[in-house]
Amino acid sequence: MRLSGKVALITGSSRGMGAVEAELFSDEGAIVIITDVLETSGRNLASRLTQQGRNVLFSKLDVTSEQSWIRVIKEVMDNFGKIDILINNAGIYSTTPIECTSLEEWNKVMSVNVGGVFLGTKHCVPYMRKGGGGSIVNLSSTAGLIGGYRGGAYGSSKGAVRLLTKNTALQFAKDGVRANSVHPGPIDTDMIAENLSTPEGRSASISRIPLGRIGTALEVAYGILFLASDESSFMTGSELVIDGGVTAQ
Amino acid sequence: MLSNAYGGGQDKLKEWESLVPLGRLGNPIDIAYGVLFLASNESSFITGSELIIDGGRTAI
Repeated sequence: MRLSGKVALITGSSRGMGAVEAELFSDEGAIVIITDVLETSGRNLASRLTQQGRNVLFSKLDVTSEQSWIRVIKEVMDNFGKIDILINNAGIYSTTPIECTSLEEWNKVMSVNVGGVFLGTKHCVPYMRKGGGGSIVNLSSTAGLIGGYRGGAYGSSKGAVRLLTKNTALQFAKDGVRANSVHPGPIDTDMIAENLSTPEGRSASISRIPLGRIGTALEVAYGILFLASDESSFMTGSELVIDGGVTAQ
Repeated sequence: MLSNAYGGGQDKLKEWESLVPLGRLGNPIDIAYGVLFLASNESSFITGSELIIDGGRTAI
């Protein structure tokens, strides 16, 4: 198994892409800490996976709260004594045009999508260093690589994640801590469900994708697994684009 | 390839290592795993992408 004996914390993993990652990681032998603000779905997922004999637990985490991070990481250390993998997956979406975006909405998107990655990195790195290394995977987006005609806050936050990842990579390379970003294109999850809810919306999205279809959460999870595992041990500060060819255009 | 280019000089290899954030040169297996990932169905939504396996060299 590719993550045998590794302790992995995944944020925003009660549902959507994070839940698929949690399932795949536990399948590959990792001890997975499912974290989210969504408590009921997180506990249900954890108990379903536990019944299947996987090693997972749920811990409530608000990625924007430093106290919340400190409490969850203490729980991980008390239970398992180490943390090998951090997947900063939690994120929120916004397509509000710039002129219509309130400062409150802007700050909320930044706080979850960038602030959450910053806090997770800040509080996990000391324990990864102590354990001789680790792997951090940050979920950015193709919206963090190229501009868009809608929104502003989301793309800005994902662009920040791209460079925060490179700073993390360089600052902690000497400690054996690697950091890479993942840039999914259109993926069939709740996050963009609204965009795909009408046949017109779906075909408009698909017409821009060279592979001619929307991606699945599992296709992103496999990329994250590769970056989390020792198979990518010479990769740090890199970007993995999983977008069906959208940004190759 | 690198060893040949520098006549196997240890000093030159050390200099190369110092330029890599992860502090070492890559091994063929490091590249092979990336190639395996791109060749396999695990990367079925990846096309036209770049996979940089360089120990952080180009993140600087």
